[in-house]
Amino acid sequence: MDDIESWLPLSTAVLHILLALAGQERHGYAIMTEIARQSGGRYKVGPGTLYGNLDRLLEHGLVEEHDRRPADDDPRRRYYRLTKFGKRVLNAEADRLAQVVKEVRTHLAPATGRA
Amino acid sequence: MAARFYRWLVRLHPPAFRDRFGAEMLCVYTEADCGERPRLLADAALSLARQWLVRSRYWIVGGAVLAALLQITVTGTVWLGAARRALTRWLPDPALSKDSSAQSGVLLLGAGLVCAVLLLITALSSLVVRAPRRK
Repeated sequence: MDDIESWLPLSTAVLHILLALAGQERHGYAIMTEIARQSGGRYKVGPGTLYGNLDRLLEHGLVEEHDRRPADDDPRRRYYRLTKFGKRVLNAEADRLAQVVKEVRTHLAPATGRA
Repeated sequence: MAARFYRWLVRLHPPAFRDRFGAEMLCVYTEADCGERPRLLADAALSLARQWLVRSRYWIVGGAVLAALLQITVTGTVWLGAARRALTRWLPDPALSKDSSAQSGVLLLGAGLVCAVLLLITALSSLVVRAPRRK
């Protein structure tokens, strides 16, 4: 699981987790709310799903723990951020999805034209 | 009540996962809106099953034990019949060969040894199967 191709296609949960961490480091609850925001509330992950996937992502080096935190923060919170490898995997998935969208547009265009 | 149940579900997760993420899961639960909490409970229950069955790889050991039990049942039936016939034929003392309790004793000893070997193999395989955990 250390090469990019072996991660593709990403599961919905992993894609959204990586995407939530793409902009900035976040703690678990912030990742959950960011995923809900990104999907317009249509996709939500619970802590079990989130941490189960984070465990795997940490193990394979796509995500790492970040030490910096606000001074008055809840000590139980941990912050996570994307690694370089995680960014490469996310980029590869974005390219794959773009190719899929392109295929969809190609196949739907004639049908739309006929309609 | 629901919070206690959630804490209990988190506590039942495999030790490695619970030690790593248990406090965070509880933290998320306390931060979530009340309306979200039933969904978090369902998610924790699913996570519990997933962590024990899939991620911990105990399902491999469970499968190995089931396969071993199946083998014991099938081959044991054949083996017991064959062993009883062999004992009747080869026991030096004719009186002993007719004594079914002596035969049963020898067969039980043999079966016990086989079970001990199988248990040892299962225990060793569970140690080998368990993947090395991060840090």
